[in-house]
Amino acid sequence: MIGNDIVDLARAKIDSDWLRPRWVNKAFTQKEQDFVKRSEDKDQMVWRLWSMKESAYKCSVQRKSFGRFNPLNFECSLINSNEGIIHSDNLKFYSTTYSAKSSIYSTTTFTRKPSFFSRIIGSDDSSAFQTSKKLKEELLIYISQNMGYDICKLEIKKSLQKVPQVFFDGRKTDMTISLTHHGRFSAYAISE
Amino acid sequence: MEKEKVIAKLKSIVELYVQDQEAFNNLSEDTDFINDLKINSANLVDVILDVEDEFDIRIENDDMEKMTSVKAAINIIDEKLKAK
Repeated sequence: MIGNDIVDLARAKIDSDWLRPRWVNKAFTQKEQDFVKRSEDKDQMVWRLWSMKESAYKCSVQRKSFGRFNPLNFECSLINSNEGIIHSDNLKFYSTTYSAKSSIYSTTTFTRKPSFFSRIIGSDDSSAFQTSKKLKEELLIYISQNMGYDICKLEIKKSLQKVPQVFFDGRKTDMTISLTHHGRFSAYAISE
Repeated sequence: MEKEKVIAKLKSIVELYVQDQEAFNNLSEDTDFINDLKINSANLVDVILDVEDEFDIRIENDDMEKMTSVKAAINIIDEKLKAK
């Protein structure tokens, strides 16, 4: 099982004003708010924590059906500059975050030494619909080329819980995947 | 507040974050914020704060979790307005 989440920092700067009153209270626990306060680059920390939570949530819905995402229900701890742990109820997740000037990307799994493949795709100024379509196509190409499936029979559909799943010849496969896009970036991850 | 007024205010709030114009134009009570309107998860907190400011109410995170559709949002807003 795997969850991922990407943040286009330029887009986040325009759309989300995290300095707005009450924003951090809704998104972060007190401990997490302290991480932000103590950080040199607060923007990076805010979006790192957020992407950790979101990717942990996406990972969790593959195991059990959750209600909608409640950010305070997922608490982040930081191991080092890339690795972290997220706790939610009695679940524990491990995440890795790649922080760059333009984007932040987190992948989260249930195990400390996960085995998955992930790829970030930069998009031009396409609509969210086009970006999403292209992302799925790229993932299906990867699956077809690396796992030997006939691409014409591969399809990605969302379950009732809105979890993306891979279907081959109309039947659901065991593959677990995660998709994310925000602004100029999108990414897929697939468990191996 | 009449339902139509609540919906109108909700529409103007989410419009900023909507990534599916067609779904927005056809907005109904069953419209889902994330899956139909394609509002990015990063904007969820912003939407909630805008709703709080617009209706002068406070939405706790337990309620936030339930606010997935227009219908659910209307119910929570109604509940909070009545409690004032």
